[in-house]
Amino acid sequence: MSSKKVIELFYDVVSPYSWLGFEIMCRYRTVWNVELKLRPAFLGGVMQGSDNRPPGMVPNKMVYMSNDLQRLSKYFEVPLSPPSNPAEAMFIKGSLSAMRFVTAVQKREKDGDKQVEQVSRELWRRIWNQDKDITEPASLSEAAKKAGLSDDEIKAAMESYNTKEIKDKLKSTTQDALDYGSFGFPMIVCHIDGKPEMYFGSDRFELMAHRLGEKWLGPVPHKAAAKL
Amino acid sequence: MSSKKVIELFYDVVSPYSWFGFELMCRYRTVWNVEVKLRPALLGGVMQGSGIRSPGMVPDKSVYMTHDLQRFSNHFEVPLSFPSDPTETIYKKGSLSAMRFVTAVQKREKDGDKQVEQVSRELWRRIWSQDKDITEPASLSEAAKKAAQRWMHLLDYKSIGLPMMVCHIDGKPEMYFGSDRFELMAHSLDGDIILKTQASPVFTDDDVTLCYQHQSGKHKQTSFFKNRALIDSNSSSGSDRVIKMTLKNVTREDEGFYRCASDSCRVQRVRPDR
Repeated sequence: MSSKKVIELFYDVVSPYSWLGFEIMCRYRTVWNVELKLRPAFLGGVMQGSDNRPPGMVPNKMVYMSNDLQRLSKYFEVPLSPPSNPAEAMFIKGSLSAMRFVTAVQKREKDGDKQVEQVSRELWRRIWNQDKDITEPASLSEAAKKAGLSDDEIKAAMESYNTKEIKDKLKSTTQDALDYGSFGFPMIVCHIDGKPEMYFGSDRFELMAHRLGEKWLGPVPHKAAAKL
Repeated sequence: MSSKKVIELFYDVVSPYSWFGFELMCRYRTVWNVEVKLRPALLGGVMQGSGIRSPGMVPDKSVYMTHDLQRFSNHFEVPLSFPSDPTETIYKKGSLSAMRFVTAVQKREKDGDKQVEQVSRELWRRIWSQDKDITEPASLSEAAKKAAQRWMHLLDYKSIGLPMMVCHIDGKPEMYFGSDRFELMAHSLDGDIILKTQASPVFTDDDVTLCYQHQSGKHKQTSFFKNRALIDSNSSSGSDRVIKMTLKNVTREDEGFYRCASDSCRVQRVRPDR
């Protein structure tokens, strides 16, 4: 079997489309011959750095996205439910602390990325399913607890997420996304024959599969492949 | 078999992604049980009316789109090629006269939409394949009025750009923006039946089982088609949720488009294994 192709997934938990892309990639990492690298980054920084505006700032886009996300949520089987005040959650409160926290968890995790995957998922659940806060320290430690981190691990993450080291790490990952040409999230970078190919959004999987030489089995691959 | 669902396709030939959506919908109009209505419109008007900036105005988006369009061109088998001066072509020369022309053709066409389909395609070929001009002397009056009416109607749908497909499902319009929602659209158009085939590749002499699963219990008859010809039909009761059909010792001749239909649901499509 040829060596695994590396796929980098840049995401921010403030972004609902990122959650869709994240869940798809987590399902497919055991189906395709790929190595998935999670790259928690800061969407606000990417928007600013690329001189782009969030789509939700355009009224018609906000309306469209609300319907689009609802149907995708059902089709992708990801329990997306918009917060009661999306503009406040996304543009005012934001996700800077949350993404620093995820970065801190990732920095400490020595073996694999199960914890960073679980913590990211719990944060998405809070903002994009349960309409809960993701900015306060108590919110972050609760998400980490639900993700299965030990008290010591949670303490270590809480103590480090506001340090210069972690802030710089988040900045540098965000800059990597910008260097790849990102203007939004999710941004998936597939390394094929030594060259990076970028895919923006959660609607390029069939094309991505084709380019990777893999098969797209729909958003829930384990159901498609089940014996009838 | 239930009646066809209507899909309105709003497009402008200045938009390359519209070309992809257009070609895919033209291919699928004979595969899905749908009625496609072509709605030539004006992208500039939609942008202005909805307060949206063209994606090409964001430098990183512009770079990304160049690669994205090239890959889709190969994958969708649509011969897209960038004009030598995209900025001049898209933003300065534009497509107002061209879309008025398409609208005029559509107005005159009495039977079906073959002409408007062909004219649209030829205009796309000129701008997005052959790097030729599409600004022509416009016969303004009625065509201009219709074009204005059409893009105003599109704004009623709260369009955010083109292509925009409006699927009329159970009396309600559902909008799909872009050329990357076909899988979701197919899922929304499919109602009752889920079709499954094996996920792994198929080899000669294999047995292949096609399985259809009714989601509701309202069917009495389930039929299988290969390339539009009926090949199998079973009476099925409302309590049968899963009905199988096995093709034994398949050969090359078994390749094709397989679909199934029940008396409670329209034709579904089976994706053939590669």
